[in-house]
Amino acid sequence: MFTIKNLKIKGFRGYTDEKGFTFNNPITILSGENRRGKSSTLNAIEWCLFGNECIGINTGIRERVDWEIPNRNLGSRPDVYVEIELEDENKSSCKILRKWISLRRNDLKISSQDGQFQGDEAEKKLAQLLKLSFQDFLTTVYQHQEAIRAVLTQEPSERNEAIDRLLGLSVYRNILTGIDDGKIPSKQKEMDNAFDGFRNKLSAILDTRNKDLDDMKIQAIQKGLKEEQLNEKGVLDIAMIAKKQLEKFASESGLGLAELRVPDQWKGISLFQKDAEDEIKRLRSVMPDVKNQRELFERSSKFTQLKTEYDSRKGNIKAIEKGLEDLSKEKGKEDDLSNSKPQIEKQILEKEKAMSEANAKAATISKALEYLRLEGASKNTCPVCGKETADLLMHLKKEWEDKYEKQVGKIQDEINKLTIDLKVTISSLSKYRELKEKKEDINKALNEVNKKASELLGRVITDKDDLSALINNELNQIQEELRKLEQAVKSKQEILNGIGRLLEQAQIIVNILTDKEKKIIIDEIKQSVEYKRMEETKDIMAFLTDDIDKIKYAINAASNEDAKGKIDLAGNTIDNLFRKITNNPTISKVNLHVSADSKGKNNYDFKDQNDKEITPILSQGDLNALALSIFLGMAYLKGGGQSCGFIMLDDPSQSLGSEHKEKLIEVIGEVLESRMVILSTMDKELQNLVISKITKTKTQYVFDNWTPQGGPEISMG
Amino acid sequence: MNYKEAVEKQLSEDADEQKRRKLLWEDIVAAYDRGGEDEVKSALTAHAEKITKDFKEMLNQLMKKI
Repeated sequence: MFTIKNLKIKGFRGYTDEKGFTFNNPITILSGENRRGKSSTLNAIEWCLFGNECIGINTGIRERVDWEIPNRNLGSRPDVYVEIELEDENKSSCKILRKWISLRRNDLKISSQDGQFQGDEAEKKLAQLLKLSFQDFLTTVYQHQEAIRAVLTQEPSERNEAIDRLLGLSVYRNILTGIDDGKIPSKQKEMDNAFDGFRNKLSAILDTRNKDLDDMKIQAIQKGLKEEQLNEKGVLDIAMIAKKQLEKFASESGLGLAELRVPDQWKGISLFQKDAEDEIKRLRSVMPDVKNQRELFERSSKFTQLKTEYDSRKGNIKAIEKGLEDLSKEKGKEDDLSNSKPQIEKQILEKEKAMSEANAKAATISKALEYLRLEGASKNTCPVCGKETADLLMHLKKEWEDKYEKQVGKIQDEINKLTIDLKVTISSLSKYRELKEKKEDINKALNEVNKKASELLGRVITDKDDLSALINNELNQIQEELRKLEQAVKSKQEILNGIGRLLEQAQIIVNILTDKEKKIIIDEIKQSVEYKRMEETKDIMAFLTDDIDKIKYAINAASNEDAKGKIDLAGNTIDNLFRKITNNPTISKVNLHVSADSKGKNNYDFKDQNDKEITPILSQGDLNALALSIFLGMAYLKGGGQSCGFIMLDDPSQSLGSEHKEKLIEVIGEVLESRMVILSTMDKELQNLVISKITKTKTQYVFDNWTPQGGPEISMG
Repeated sequence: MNYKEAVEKQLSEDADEQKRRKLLWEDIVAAYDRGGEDEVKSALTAHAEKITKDFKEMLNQLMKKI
């Protein structure tokens, strides 16, 4: 059994410069407030002994994930090491020096009486020396703060997990967590669903095919096929019949036929069908009767159009002639109008001359009257001739009214009438001209119609011919010819339709055969290597899930058995320690039981002397005491054959009351009979109790302060 | 007896299954030693994906046929 003699730390976590510790008394107290470097000191011992095993999730300590070894303030190439001097009961010592190299590498050197060791050789030597796994170290040597904190929870599953950890069983839980995170059962379920989905799809396709097949068979019977024809021979025979009928038709119609090849197998029938259908289409369009029919339809259409045009023009001519007749009746004949026009014009000229003459004298009198009206009525001298006349104004007025006013008005009326007559005559002549021009245009168009008709009829059309009757006659002849042709065409089309129906029958059989083949493919899929491999793979996955279940069960069973074994060995010690620390008068016996919970994991019960569960009545201090009891119980359990002669307690009195603390000191006093104790605490009451109650010699390191550059400031207490 | 042996002791059934489970257990232990529970998860996920990949390949091939 060895103990720690000396410790040197440099650059490790909270440390910067090298600091040294000597452990030459049974108990060493590391005291000071939080964050002063106390825990880093215990961690340094742990790291020196176990290297990177202290880091990561496997430790079961949450803060160890991404745990940093070098002090952050030491730059990129820090000098980091921890050196421990161990001493056995024969005072033989060895020095263990672990230097940090990088995140994943550190170098170990051991100097002992057996020699110098380095690297892997040193690691082996250390393992021989310690005879202690890291998990054992955590449960029996180093009471970590988190071990107590976890037990203090009121949540049973978390407390069970914490007790597992105290009993050194966290590996089981860690592996179970890893297995559960792998989610194998859900992957198997996914695979099963995919397989079932595929199998259902195959069944659905098969059902559809069967239904389609039944429908197609009914259709085949309706199309005149017999059950025994619904096969390859049936379709090839029908194709051959269709081919022969087409050849016969073409020959009888005097038409050529493209070469049609009936295939040896039904799968080639589609090409034959397409060629045959193309030929049927072609024959329909080039059959002579059809050609004649089409030409007659075209001729009929042309004559009908011509007739429409002719009738329209004729109608227009009639309308114009009626207009001319009406004009003649209303306005007179064109020749008469033409003759009367110059006479009217001449009369107008004569009247205008008379008017002019009459106007000359009338103008003079008019001016004289104007003058006399302006000069006054008293003047009797004529302003024109200078002759004296009594009452001249009245005289002239009377002369004007009697002679000139009537004469000039009459002439003007005559001129007006003649002017109107002239306008009417001109307008009528213009109308005659317009109607004649129109008639001429229509006659030209009619000539064009005649010309077209002449071309279509192949004869000259004269004025003696009634073109309308000629066209009607021609149309009647065409209709007669079309009636005759229709019958001939109908019977030939019927033959081609019959061949088309044969091709339809062939298509139905092809569809049936295709469907049957697809059904076979589905059957083949189920017999395929791939399908069998899928089934095998599914089985492999099922085996994996089953194996995982069995392994989980085995892990739980092993964990349970392991827990029971440890409780059997340490149960009494834990009972004694717990009762000693808690000093609860109602509890004279604590029985620790382990059973499996619904998931197979360890479930711990703490029952009193009356077999009653005590956990519900335990205070936080009691739970703290429970955690310490389990740790110390395990420490004692291992103590018998254990090489480690010291234990490390990190803040053990987190929730302990004063009475509990006193009892804890008593227990620590008992531990000191066989072990060295390194106690880290910020609890001044506990420090004072250690100093006043522990009768063994002590060393106290006081962690006064901590700075990033200087690390912990440590003094001797 | 360490945890590995303790679990192995619990894994006792007929010969073939035992052998298969023991191998799987050894894989789990090796993964745990390598990188803890995360590595166990990764190892099992990889194991399952290998099986799933084969299954999916076959399924895709057959889907093409229909």
